[in-house]
Amino acid sequence: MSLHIICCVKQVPDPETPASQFRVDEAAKKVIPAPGIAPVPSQFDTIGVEAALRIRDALGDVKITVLSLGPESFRDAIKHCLAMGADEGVLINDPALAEADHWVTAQALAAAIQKLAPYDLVITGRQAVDWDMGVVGPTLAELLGIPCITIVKDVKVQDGKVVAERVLLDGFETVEAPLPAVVTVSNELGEPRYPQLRQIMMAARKQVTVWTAADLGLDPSQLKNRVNIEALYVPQTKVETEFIEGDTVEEKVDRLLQRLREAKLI
Amino acid sequence: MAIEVKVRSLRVRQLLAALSFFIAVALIPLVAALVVIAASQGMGEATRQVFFNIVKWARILVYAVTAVILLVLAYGPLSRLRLWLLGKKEERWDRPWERARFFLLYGVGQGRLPNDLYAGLMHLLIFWGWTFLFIGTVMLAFHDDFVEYLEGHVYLGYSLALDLAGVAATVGIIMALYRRYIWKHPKMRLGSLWDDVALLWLMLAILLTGFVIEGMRVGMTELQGATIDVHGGLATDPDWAPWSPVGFLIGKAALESGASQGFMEMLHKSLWWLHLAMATGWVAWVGYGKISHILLGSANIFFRKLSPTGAALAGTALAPIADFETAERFGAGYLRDFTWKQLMDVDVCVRCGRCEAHCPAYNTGKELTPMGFLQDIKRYLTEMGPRLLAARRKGEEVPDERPVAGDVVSFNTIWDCVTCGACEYQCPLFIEHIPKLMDMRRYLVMEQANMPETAQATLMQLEQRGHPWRGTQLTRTTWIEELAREGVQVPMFDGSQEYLYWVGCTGALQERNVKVTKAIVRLLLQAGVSFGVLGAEETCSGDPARRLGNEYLFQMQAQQNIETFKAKGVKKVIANCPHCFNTIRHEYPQLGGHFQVVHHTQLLAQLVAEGRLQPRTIEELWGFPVTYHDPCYLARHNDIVSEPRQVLQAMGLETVEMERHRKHTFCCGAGGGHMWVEESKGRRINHTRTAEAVASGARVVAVACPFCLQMFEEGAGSVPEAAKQGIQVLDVAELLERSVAYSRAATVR
Amino acid sequence: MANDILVFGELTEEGRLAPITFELLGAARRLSQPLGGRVLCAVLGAGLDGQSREAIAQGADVVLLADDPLLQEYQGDALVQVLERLVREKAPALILLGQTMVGRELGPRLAARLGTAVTMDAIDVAVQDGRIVVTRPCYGGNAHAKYSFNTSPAVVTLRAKSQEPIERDESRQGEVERVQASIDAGAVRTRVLGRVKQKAEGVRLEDARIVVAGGRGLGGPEGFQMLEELAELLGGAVGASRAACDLGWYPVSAQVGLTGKVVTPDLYIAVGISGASQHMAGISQVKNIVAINKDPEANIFKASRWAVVADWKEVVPLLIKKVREMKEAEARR
Repeated sequence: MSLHIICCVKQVPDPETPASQFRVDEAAKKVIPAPGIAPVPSQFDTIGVEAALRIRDALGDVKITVLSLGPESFRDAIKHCLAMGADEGVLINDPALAEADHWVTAQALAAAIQKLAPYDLVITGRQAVDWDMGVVGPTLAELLGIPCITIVKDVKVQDGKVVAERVLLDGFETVEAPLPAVVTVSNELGEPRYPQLRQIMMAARKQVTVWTAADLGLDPSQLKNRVNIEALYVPQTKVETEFIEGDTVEEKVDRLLQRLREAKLI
Repeated sequence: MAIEVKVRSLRVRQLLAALSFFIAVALIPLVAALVVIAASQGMGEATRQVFFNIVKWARILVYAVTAVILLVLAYGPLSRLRLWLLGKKEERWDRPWERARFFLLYGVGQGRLPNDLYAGLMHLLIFWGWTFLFIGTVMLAFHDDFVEYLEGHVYLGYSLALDLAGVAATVGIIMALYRRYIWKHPKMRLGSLWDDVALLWLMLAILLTGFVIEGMRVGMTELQGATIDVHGGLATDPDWAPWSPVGFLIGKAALESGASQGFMEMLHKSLWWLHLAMATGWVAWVGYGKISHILLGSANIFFRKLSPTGAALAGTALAPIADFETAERFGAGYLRDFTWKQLMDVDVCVRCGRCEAHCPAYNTGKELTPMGFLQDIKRYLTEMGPRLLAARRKGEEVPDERPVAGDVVSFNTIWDCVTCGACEYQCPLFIEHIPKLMDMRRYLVMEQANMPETAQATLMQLEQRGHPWRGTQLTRTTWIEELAREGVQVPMFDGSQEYLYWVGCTGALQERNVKVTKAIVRLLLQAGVSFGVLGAEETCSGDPARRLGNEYLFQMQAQQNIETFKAKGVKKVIANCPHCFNTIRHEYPQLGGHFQVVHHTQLLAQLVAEGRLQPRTIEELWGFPVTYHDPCYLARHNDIVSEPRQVLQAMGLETVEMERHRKHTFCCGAGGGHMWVEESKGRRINHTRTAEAVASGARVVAVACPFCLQMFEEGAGSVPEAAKQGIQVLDVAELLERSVAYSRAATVR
Repeated sequence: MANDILVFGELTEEGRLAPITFELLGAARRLSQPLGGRVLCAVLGAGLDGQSREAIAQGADVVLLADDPLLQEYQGDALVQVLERLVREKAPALILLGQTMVGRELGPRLAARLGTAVTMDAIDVAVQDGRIVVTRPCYGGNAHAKYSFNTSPAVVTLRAKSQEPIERDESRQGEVERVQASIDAGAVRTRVLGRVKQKAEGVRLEDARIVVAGGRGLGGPEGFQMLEELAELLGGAVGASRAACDLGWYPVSAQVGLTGKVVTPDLYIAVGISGASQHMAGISQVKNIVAINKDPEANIFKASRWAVVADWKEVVPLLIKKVREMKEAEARR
């Protein structure tokens, strides 16, 4: 049985940018890319690709398509996933979609997924690590009219069904759904694999298909954002740090406990 | 009860090596002198009958047997050579004169053996004893069949020399037997195959039979003044006998115990034949088994890796992959992916255990043992090699061939290595352990993406962010901005300065190491050194990527840096990280980047010597002994051991040495990418080393490497003895900066 | 009514309203004034007992109670059906859910079904000039963004502990409206095959009032045993930095930070943690951080209320000893 998995990936500013380098253009309501710090594929999304690759490792006959929406530079994220072992890459690149919110993004991705049909499984990260919203995956499921299992730490395909372990606060539950389905993955699934050099070299030569909104039969003017960003700013988290003094460690500990008691914390 | 002679003094070891080398050099003139004396003195009387008491045709038999034996002997190495040729090509015969010099120093001179004093002495006694006996035998054949020159004083000297050689060899063999059976030295862990043991007994038997034969001959001829069949009948003289001291004692004892002439003749004759059989058998054996190291080891020393940049060890500069597009395989996964020399290495190892005894991974309970993995490959080469050869001839594949990387040699073995070079530095036969392990890492990483999770995270981090310090809050310019706020302007390199100061990722991105970076900059400014830094334009030197097996990433990073250097007109580089230092010095030239690199301790020593920096005793450190920890990549890989000590001395600090120091230093645990890769099991290497620093009585550990600094700081907090003793860890530059600042304050006052 | 607020009443496994529901009700109560509507609370479960009264005491005006065996366990497909119908029927202006494992799935799906707007993980909801404005952290907590909505109703999930519940008031009056779940079982496509509890004992990291966390500075897995002892004494849970988890010193399930868990305890004791941004992202909402670190320049101190510059190996055993003495003294009293 041949299986087609579509992984949605996003490229994001490096989430590990040192706080001192993180700057926001408050007027444009955008993050200013830190100089010399390259964007990276969103970590949960590459974990999604890892999940797809694990399914392929288990079943063999699986085609993995990487799908992304964004500017030309997002090609790097797609190439990274191809180097990890994905088969094909598709980039939806349309300036008219540059300001897309999660709703419009999900519309465009859903249209592309339908164009890529037949498909069996759509995998997304539990959230993109820029806006940390975590909406696109479940929204895709609703738009495509297929079942959805969110925030999972393991995905398998068995007997034409997807079986996933959904993370709970105190453990996990095993959930089964018929295919096709949407699954969003969490970091508990494990680290995304390291690309083998030959695959990096192959990925460099692979063509990435580029579609515009028109290619997907969408009219951007008809796609309306559902939310507006009113403001974007770096929060002021001023903390007055008190260095606990004391001649001996014991004195310091006593003083610390006193402070904690005063604040009714213990 | 075992007696262990523990001499840690480098001088004693060096002395012994020098002595051995002196014998090696003196040997040829000695023999020459002997011949000259023989010619000038004329023929004396004293001599011996060569085939005394032996049938005449024995002479022909001996030559015939020797011819056959030589053929048998030659077959051994040749059959192994065929197996080595399964490997890839590698050029190892450039610079023949240099090779000859190394061969003389370390092959004939055995320069590395005294590193283990007992085993070294033992080996030297056996080696020189045996060699003299062998030469003596050849001389005797020449005397008997060509020119008779062993006569008179020459003969007596010759006889004495050979007896002494025999005694030396016997003492050596007994030392070996003692070490094996009574001492049960741990280095013998893998060295107890039947041929190791049998060989010792055989050699002892050859020596002892030789002495008894001599004793009988002396007893029957010289001691009795009997006439021997030389020059048609020569009367011997009892005065000659003491010149063969061992034979004299045995012969005398035999006569005094009333042994009959017939018994002595019988004993002499039978032992002579036994001795002949054993000696020729021994010669044949030299082609096989452990004793073949006489040939293979010598060849291995001759074929050792010679560095174009003066790298001390093979593992100092790893070989580049020339072309990724056409490479059949990245790194070494299977037997055929190794070079012929790498396969030869494996065969040459005699399991002496020196590598293992110094390996930080093995000594902290990890899977890696350098001699162990060589033996694993050797066993597999012996088992699978002939089949692979046959299959290659037929153009077939061997379906059940196992990969060496990850199978024959375990995954953990390959990843445990910290590339400290202790194994390579100790190996008397110049086996190159590190490149093999690194080639296997390359295979695991680039072909299989099979590596410890922490290694993967590090490589990913290096790829995405150009430095290995995930999660750092600093940027490459944070420290420059901080210094600017203190009023210190750090010059940016623009081509007009003499030096580029290469700060390195750790020096810029780790809070603790930034302090060292700042100290170095203040010192350079104080001394008026013309230098500049790259700031945000710096990126990783490539060392971690290369040592973690991603050669592709290394080459990208190195090339980028080389281009930056060239574009900016960099000629000289100051590095404070020995790993960056090593890579720029020895590995950038492989990619066309030729720069002069100096380690900060070298430059500081020079500035102190020139009086451009004037250190003063730091009074706060009185009563705080300082020990200097040699970083592997400075000491072993780059021969830099005295400059950092000179700086410490200039400050008038009370210094103590750890048990393992200078080129015998013990790794802090962070080499080979292990700064970021978790150790697989066992005690942490840095804890072992910290405990050693504590045992030296030091209160301050002076370091010269950013990784060592991190490792000792961690160790100082985690090793209970260290916490109790109170250990401070400071870079040499930090100490010097304090001391110079002290003197600055003093001058103002 | 067009100005009502619908709170999704999340239930615990035992069928009681979860603390997050009280926080949501508290927020809804405060927002109901500027919006001028009622607070509706949807309590959807099976075999519910007394939860309506509880919801009213905590601030609900109307409880929409559906009791159906099909709601016994969490099924997104079932809940989203019921909620969609309720929303279409009651037409609230704002729907509040908790940023929990349930809310993270239900919120986006409900919004998508309604074709309306959603924002997740908010820490503040306000009414400005008659519009609903939501504040939420993004970029791993490095930035905050304010959102407004182009469509109504607005679906918002709120971060746990970001809102204060109201003072519980038994005398509050409210109505209970029983609604039919009428779940189309055929549309429930997922099936739960089983549940596995992984951490049975102790307090869950996400719920803990006190978290004691360790980092690379502990130098090895052994240090965490001491932290566990301290956490147990304090009735808290143990967390770990990614550095420590990467090194295999503590399970990844306890990892606090950007790629791990976001925690919101009242007190966070960071031991041997340097304070990488990756880690700080997981504790950005914590007001009371105690940092114990040898390095006086450790980044963690910048975010800490109390800083102890000392070796944790000396501090933690003393803390354990003194806290134990304290507890024993209290017990005697």
